[in-house]
Amino acid sequence: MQLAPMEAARALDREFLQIRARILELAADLDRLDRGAGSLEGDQRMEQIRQALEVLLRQEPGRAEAVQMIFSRPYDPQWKTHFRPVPKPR
Amino acid sequence: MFYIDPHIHMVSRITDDYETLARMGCLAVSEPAFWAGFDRGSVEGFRDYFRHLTQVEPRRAAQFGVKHFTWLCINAKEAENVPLAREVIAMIPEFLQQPNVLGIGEIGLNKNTPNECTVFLEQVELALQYDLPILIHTPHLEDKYMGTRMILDMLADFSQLDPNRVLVDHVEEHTVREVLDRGYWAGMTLYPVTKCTPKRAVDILEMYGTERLLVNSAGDWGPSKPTAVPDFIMEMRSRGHSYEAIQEVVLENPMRFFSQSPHFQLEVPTQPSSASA
Ligand SMILES: [Zn+2]
Repeated sequence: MQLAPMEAARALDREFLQIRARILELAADLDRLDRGAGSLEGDQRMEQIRQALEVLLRQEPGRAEAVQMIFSRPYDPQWKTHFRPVPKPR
Repeated sequence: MFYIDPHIHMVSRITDDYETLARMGCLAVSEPAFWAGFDRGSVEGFRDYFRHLTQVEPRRAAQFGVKHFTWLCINAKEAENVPLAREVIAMIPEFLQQPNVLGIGEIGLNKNTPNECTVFLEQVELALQYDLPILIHTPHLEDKYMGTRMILDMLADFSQLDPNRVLVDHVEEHTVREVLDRGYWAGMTLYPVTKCTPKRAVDILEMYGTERLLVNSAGDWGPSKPTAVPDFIMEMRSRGHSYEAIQEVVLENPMRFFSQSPHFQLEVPTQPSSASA
């Protein structure tokens, strides 16, 4: 069964305050990281956050999937070549 | 509205939770064997756990008219100890004839290690040997994508395995397509932070349709919500989706998947109006 999504204008009416609140929460999170003592330079997680925020500004679908991939270890199609099953005892 | 929670760890929940689920329309729960919050020290620990799953929980659920089904296995978290895992696998058949056992699960990967793969493969063999459906756990967070792909690669090597008898659980936006495309069932777990939210689960259904997709709460020892499926139902209703579409996902799909197991039986109460119509 296919499900039709809600009409865009209605969805915006429904989500607007929540989107606003979540963006505000994120902005305050980032401010908090800045205010703390010490530096986060070179921390890979900050780079992931920056890349994910850029995805949000894309004008195309698939943003949630793209954000998931930023926070995922990449798939190695050759993984089996260095994974040997543990032999069964005789 | 009646529903089934196809993945919930009731051993970690209080009896009041069964009552709450029953009040919300839950007809049945299915509980895969998993980690107990600590690593068990011996095969006897698992034997007692399987007695808990096959004898104690069905009785506790029945007090509220909820049917309890279960899946047996050694989980990925404890699979690092391969000798112990093999003792557990050898013991599982003792319990397979218990009337609430649906199949083998939740097997899978946790940190995507060679030992986990070894134990996963041996349990797929066990399921094939006993002709049982399989329920699969996919890893969390950054390991999910790689782990899910590894699981699909391993399953593809079993030519005699029917994808329609395998449920790959905890799918999210980046793993759902591959699982459905290969003909498996896919479960979405509604967790507050680390997995899927009710809203995102409805989004995924709007993108992929309802076929072979399930939703569950996976309520367990960690932060989780046993009433997450009713939250999902609320989200579907508030977006204007039909009663039929909701029933398809929360009741009919789990029944279709579980019906492939010889032990699955469930009476769905019919409403007086539809009975007289
Ligand atoms: Zn689970």
